[in-house]
Amino acid sequence: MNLGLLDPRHVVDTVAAQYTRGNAPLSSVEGFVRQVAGWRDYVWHLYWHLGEGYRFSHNALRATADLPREFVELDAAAIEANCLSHSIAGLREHGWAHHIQRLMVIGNWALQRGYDPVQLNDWFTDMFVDGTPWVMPANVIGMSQHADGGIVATKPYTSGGAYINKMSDYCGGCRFDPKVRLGPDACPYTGGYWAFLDRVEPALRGNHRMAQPLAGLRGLADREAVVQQERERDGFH
Amino acid sequence: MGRVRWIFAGQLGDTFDDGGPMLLIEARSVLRRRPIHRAKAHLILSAMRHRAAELGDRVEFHQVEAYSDVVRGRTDLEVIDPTSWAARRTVRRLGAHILPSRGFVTTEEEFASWAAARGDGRLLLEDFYRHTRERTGLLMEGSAPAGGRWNYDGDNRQPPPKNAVSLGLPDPRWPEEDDIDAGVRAASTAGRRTATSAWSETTVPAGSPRPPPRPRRRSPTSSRPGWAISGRSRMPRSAVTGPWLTRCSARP
Repeated sequence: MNLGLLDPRHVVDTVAAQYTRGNAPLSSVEGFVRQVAGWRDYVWHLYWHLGEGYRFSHNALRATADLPREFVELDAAAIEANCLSHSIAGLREHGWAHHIQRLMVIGNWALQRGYDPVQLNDWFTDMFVDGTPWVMPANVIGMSQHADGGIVATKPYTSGGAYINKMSDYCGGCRFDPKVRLGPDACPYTGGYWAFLDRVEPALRGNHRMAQPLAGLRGLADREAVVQQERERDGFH
Repeated sequence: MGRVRWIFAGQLGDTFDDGGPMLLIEARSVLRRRPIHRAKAHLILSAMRHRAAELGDRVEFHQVEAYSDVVRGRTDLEVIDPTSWAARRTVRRLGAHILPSRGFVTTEEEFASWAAARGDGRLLLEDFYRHTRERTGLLMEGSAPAGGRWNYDGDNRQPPPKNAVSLGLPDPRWPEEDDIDAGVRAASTAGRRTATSAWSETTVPAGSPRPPPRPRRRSPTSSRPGWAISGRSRMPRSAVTGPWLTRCSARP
């Protein structure tokens, strides 16, 4: 579709007609139509509406880490977390990853580790077969990294390992434990979630959608130890 | 004299063709500007070359170092407004005749008037989406959303079936590589050694040294009928999006 080969209006009309004829359930058809006529169009129009500077002039969470070699070289084998390794391996093989791998696994990791949002945006553009210049900024700078401070999404899209465990079958074969935030088995997403909140607490204190997570952070008995652990985590191990 | 329509990599389908003469340029410098995944480079080059073959003598197809090698000084060009800030600057600098963009459900003009009507309000996806549904009549029953609700996301978060190793869906349609793809593949392999080929070694990420896996069936643009979505082939069992939209799996 981003090559211009498929016309999105024709696509959504065709799919919607299958609901009308009773061949497909409404929940599936509606979800599909929203992705194409809703989200795809929305990020296209925001690309123009938000201006050329949107891509490189926002860094609300002050994320300044360079993209690691494992991302740049798509070195899945060097990544221990099963979910991230699988997602990067698929990207290396196909130039593609599922929407939720992009957001919940790859984007979430980058957000927690504080990767520079411009570098990340350009990496997504370069490495994904569907990565046009217009499609990534609202998705990466806005939706995934919250670098725009809330123009596109009201809060950062982040979660610990427990949510990844609930939504996938990655964790069973992983050497980390999604329920553990401290110690040798601590899932980097679970520890990383709290370390991320600790780092961005000042920036997000006024965001009422973050009130509950931040209250959780303040009640965390081992907060300092978790933050220390994630700061010292050796890359992807 | 009639204008020649210069089309870009995002404008390779019939939506962007009004029947007149066309110009398509494969510029090596464009692929060298940034690192690029080899599969992405392959997809773009293959799609462009297939389109050139399809248009036959209706298209001037150039394989050159830079756009300017072809378009500098030309005053006969028109474009459908291209898809990046940089490309829009280029075509304006050239003085090409510019037509409104295509390839989306909502036009830029329609979006602008929707956004203006929001005043100082936030431009929320949900509002935009509902407005689009109302404007187009997509999944509408009169003035109400089909089924009575705008959003069925909650129904698309079911866990996968217990102990399932797959969702039992038919394979997607896989393109089959043809001679054009073989040419792209050869250029990409040679390109790893010489900068004069389609792209240089520096543009192929060190992490993707192998060619993209060879898909099994027809190439994307080699068959028009293959592109006309039937809306039937996968639908009865897989149901378009499926109830597992927000899941992902470690299984291949």
